[in-house]
Amino acid sequence: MRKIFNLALALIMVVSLFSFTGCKSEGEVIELNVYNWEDYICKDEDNDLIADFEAFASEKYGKKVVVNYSTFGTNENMYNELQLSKVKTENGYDYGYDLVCPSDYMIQKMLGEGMLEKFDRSLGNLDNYDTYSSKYILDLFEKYGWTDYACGYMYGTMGFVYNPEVLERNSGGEYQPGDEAHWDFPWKTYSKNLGTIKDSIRDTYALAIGKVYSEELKALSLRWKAGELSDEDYQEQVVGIFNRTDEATVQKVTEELIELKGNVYGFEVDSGKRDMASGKIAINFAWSGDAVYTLDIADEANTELFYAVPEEGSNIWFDGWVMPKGANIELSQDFVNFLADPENAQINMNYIGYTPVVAGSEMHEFAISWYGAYTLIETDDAQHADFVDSKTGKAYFEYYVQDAIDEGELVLGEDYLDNGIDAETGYRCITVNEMRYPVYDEKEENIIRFEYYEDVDLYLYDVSFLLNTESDDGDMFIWTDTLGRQLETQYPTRETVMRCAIMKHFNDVEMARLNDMWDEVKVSAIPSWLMIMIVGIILLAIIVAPILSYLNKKGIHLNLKFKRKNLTLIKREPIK
Amino acid sequence: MKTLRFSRKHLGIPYALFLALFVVFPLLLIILYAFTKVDPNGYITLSGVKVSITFENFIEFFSKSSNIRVLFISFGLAIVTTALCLVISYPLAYILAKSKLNKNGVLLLLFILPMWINFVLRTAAMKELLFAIGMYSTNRLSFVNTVIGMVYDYLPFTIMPLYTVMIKLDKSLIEASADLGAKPASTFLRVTLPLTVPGIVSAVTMVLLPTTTSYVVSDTLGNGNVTIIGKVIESQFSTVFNWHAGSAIAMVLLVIIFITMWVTNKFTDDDGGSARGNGLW
Repeated sequence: MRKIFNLALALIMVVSLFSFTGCKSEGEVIELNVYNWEDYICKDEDNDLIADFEAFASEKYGKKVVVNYSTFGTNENMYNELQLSKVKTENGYDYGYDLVCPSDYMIQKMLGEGMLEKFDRSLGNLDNYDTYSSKYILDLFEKYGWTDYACGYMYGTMGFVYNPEVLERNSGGEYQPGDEAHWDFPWKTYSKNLGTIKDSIRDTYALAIGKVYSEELKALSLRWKAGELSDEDYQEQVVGIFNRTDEATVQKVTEELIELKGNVYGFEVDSGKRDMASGKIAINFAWSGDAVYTLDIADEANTELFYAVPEEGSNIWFDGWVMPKGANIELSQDFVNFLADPENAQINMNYIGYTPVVAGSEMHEFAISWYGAYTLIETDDAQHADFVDSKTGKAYFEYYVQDAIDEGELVLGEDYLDNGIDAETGYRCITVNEMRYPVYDEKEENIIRFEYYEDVDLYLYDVSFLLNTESDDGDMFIWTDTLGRQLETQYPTRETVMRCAIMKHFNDVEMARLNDMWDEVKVSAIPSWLMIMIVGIILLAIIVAPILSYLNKKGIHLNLKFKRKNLTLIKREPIK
Repeated sequence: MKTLRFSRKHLGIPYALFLALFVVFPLLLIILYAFTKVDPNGYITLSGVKVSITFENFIEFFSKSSNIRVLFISFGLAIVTTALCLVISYPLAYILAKSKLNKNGVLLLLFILPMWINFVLRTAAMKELLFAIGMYSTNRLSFVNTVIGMVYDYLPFTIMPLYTVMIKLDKSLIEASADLGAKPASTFLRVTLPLTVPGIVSAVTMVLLPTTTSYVVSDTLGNGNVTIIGKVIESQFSTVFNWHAGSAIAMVLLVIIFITMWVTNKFTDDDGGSARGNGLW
């Protein structure tokens, strides 16, 4: 019996051995290890960009390509994981990932430590990225010397998501529109218990720097607007201010943040989005991509939120693809290039909410379809119409306002008035006499009625600064009816971008200083009576216990009330 | 040939393995990390980094005032939570254990039930509840909210050991006490309470340490306004990326807990407390 068993075992082992080797020889699987932020690529039922890429690459290479996709929560976690995955080679280290997506400062750090592989443009498979990337991003990368080592993925600003309605209600008229565009916004007394700030050192540090140096930043901005400072000089000075980490600055930041801590609702990283949408809070210091998401979920709950980047200047950040040493360069570049395809970028943008670095006229069209104002215009051509009103039998075409004006469907003077430059917002403004929107039934199939809006103000919003590419350089405008919302959050104007600074990587000494500052801020001050009380209790316990036990050993029993001296007798002869 | 015979003591092998792998070994690692720092000239290599032996991590920890404050806040929170848990669960466990109802199993279940719901979810739900009753109208209440959340989360851990001790309590002792003329209050103070001390001790053990470190509760319910030692350790590991400092803090915490436990046991320790198990229920 045992022999048979052994034989069977041996057989199983041999078979399994064969099957493993068989797998290896016929497989020829190429693996790409991608390490990205959580929820940072489109992966739902309709579109799975990773699967799409696998199919695309498998076809290109004629072999099966598998993407091992894993995610991280913070830059530091990612860095940590990379360090753990490294393997020693003849010339330095190889890391366990082919493609990683850290933020700006982490790229600087990794570059400084020589962890990164160069992108190889001679392979000729980065053309999408080079063609469709925003000129602004490419220039920025060139300026800081990252072009060879990193490719941008998503970028954005930092600012305040705010709820003017709640603020007005709670401030007793103290809140003035425009307050939100200044750094002292969360410090205001009317903001008490209504604002949240980020539970992350770097972002909150930027916030406090903005407050501490707001006067200096304001003065700079005025000089720049007056033309006394060139764009480059202004940028350089703003970057300088946001990267100050000297002792005096950190001291001032500490004081400001301790004051702020008493005024805010709390620190958060993720919960702020929901809290804003549900109206628990009215100010949320946020990344622009999160802001878009917050605005979207608030819209669903019928709450209108806005986003503002402080006028004094703010932080602009980006996440980019880098290849740690030992990466599969060609396949990694394929992946980056695949994501830089405008079609995929749109899918991604739709899903994530952050702004991809991909620009150009296709992205412009996409932005128009999302944010452009549209109206229904009557047509005789019922056969090709977009909508037919079943009651009246009238047929309509759906027109974006800009197309309607271009194609003469909307006539100046008759259908709309040109107001010229609006003094308040600085944008060109028109008033359309009547806008029509369809209202659908529950299944979103049939139109039940039309909604008419009279005298709608539309603003001409310029997105050409961020949406122009090297090859595609022209004016790009969007007629929109809402300012300060998703469109402006995703594509800030040139003026906004110019006053934003990249925050650099802080070295160990600077970081230690910031960490100390952070601990000082995060750990609350304790009233002295409480401290004394706790020390007292602990000391008492430590002193009394040994004394008691010592006395016990010596046979001296203190007549403490809780001692169960009287019970000894009962215990020896338990009553059954 | 000597045949290996399966005996009862072999049943302990998995546990011993588990203990060595997941308790003793990590503890040794923590100690190793706590007493070393990154040093290019070091002579020990820890995961590819040269380190040298030092006390610096501890000196640094105790020389920062914010760290001392964190200790106070954490233990303040832990002591308040433990005390509240005991105050709430002692009478509860007593009633449950003494009730004539045959259904006290069901009653007990009701109190243990929250433990089966996901911890994070429970905490988030608690926050909504507290918000609804206006506990978030000012951020001065952050500490109170955190205490409420901690008590809510750790109450089952105090009810269980107390209930287990009380259900085993010999009723005849109480009857005897009454026979000998003791008033109910006196019976409780002189008979019931001393006999349930082991339950109290294990309840304290179960609650005191976790409350100093479960920063999910303090972050969620305290809105990040309450920082406890667990959060500091976490940030040393994940944000600052200084495992040595993080391990040192964990060690400090461990030592403080040991002292606390030792002191607690001293209070109960008159005739062979260890026999009754100063550990868990």
